[in-house]
Amino acid sequence: MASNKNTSWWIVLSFLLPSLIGFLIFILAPIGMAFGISLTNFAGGPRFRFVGLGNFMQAFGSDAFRNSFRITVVFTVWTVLFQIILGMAFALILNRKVILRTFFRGTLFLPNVLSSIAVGLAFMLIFDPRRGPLNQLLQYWGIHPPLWLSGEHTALLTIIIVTVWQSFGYYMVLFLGGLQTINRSLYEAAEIDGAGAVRRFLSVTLPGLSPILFYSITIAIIRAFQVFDQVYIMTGGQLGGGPAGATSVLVFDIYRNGFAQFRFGYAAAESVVLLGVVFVITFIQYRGQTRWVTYDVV
Amino acid sequence: MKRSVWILFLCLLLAAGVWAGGKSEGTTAQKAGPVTIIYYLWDDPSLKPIVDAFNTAQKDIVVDARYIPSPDYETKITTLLTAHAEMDAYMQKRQSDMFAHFGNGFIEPLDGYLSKPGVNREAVDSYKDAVTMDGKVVAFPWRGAAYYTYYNKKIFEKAGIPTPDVYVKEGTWTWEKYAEVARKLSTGDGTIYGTTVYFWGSNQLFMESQRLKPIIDSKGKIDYDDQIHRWFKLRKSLEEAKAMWPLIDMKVTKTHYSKQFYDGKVGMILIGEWFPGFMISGRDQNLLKGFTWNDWGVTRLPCDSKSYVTQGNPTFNHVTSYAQKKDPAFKFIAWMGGPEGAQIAAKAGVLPATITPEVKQILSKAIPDPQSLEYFTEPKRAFPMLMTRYGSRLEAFLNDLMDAYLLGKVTDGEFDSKLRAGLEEIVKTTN
Repeated sequence: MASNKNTSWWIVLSFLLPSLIGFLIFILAPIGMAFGISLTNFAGGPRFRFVGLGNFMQAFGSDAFRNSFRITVVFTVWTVLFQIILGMAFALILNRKVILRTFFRGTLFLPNVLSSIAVGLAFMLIFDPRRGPLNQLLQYWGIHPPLWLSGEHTALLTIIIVTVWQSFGYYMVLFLGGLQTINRSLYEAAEIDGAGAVRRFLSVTLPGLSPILFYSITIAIIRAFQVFDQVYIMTGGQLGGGPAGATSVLVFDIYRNGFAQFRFGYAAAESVVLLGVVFVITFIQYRGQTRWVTYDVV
Repeated sequence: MKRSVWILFLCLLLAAGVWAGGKSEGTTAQKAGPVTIIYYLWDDPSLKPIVDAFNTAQKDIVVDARYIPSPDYETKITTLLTAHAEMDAYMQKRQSDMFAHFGNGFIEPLDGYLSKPGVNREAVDSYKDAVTMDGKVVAFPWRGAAYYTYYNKKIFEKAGIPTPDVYVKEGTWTWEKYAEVARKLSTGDGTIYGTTVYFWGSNQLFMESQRLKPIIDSKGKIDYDDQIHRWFKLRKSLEEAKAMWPLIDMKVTKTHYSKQFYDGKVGMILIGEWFPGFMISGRDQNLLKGFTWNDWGVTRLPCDSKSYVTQGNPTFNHVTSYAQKKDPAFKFIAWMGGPEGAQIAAKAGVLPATITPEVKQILSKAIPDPQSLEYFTEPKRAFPMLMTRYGSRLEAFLNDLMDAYLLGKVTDGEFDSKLRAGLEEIVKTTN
């Protein structure tokens, strides 16, 4: 291999420059602007003033913000849990030689490439409390049908179901990739040692999958905190987030404050808090991974 | 080194090309011929004929109409304005947003244009309070302002009860009577609802508007009485009796009020002056089920006071402050709010901002019977809904409060304290 010692910094810079410019313009600048706007009473126009930490104080004192935060946490916990469990379960099943394995792998991954808008609209029809096929089926079986998106206690659950349905296939594909990197000889050795299926899963599969698991949980948490499309589409557009704020997740609250109520400064403060929360969770996970993620099982 | 300088030079050239690409459109020289203006509005079926008529009526200005789906209009127009998207004029859907738009410097004051000779400013003068901010006229109204009771005569016939116009004539069309009629019309199983009132926060304020209460006035003074709570209670009791279409259901399932009426599933609908346009559209697309064009009518809103008051805000257009073609944009919105535009609007089945005998004549074809036409066009007081800078937030707050109340999360005992706390929060935290 040729030495890089004599490569000019100009050359290095010229290769880095396109992505650096993109990073500065599309990532770093918007983050910086969000921080800046969060310290003002910006309402969309040129006339605004510095309000210090006023927007943050307002957010922490607001019932709506606290409620949105609580709903987002509930949504995140259940969504991530089921995405990972289902993703791993189907990966384990479809890693074996089952009939139509390729077909099922493709089918389960398919919802992930569909637009959230289309999925949301389709499920709105399915979950329609009066005309929807699901409730008609439940009624046919003599089961009292729930209100789904129209019910205070079922609306968030419905959004969770749709989100998990749409996205667990993605994690399944990640786990499938991970399973195929685990050395078969480790399973053979475990079998010789008399390890049963559960023991093999806990001692070989899980440690072997731990880097993928760590990545999947991190991404799933970040995505769950960012949920918006499903709530917007399935609970009434710009007046959504209901009933009675039951699905008003944090990003939806940010959207409503910014674009429906012209409180861009306040909405930016909420975004900064969201960024901080996601950062802290990711940081804790990153630090904690040393205790359970194994990179040397091959 | 020479090679690396060349590579860097190429990169800079590429970047410069990208920047230059963004500039090229604005520097293109104007071509001779008609001026094209960009105009934003929502996809209401009654609006397209008006734009088409303007484009046909003259050759100097071409209106390039950009239609945004109605449910997303308010937020998308805000985004476009904030981004200074190319736009010469636009229609305001949630009228209270005008305050924030003007405060943000997106709207061009029209006084200079209005003072020019030949401008018919009758519509502006008729709704001066609604379109004036800080002493400046900032909008040109084209559609009038009034909510009405629209009813399906077939459903009344089946229930064997008189239509609301009979009670109006008797002077007994009160909210009590409205509730009684709604209960009688309903089948009680959700097949036929007695009435429907859409989920917009402003539509929960009929009783309050009739007491001439702004809830929060333009100076931030909180001013309301027990009529808000009374309406919330009435709505809840009617929904529980399946006499009113459930608010949460129509919000979540996005069931438009016009569909409820077209399907022959509601006896009465309390909605604004644009609704005959929807009826024309429904008739032309064969959407009316179980009734025909002659089987619907329009009369006053229920009202408890002797002097009749309805609620409503005129619908108006703005010229954007950063428009490239302000004069042609003003000419278009002035035409729309003038006598010619009024005739086209009337033909499309909406109440124009100015009513002339010619307009009334045209409206007679958009309204099924002469008596309904009289009620539709009679002079009346329409109290403005949420027309202050607090209006947009108040609308959202009332929406949330109504959801919470209907679901029992806010009890009757807590109602007033929750309402007051919410209003105080809005006053305190609105810029």
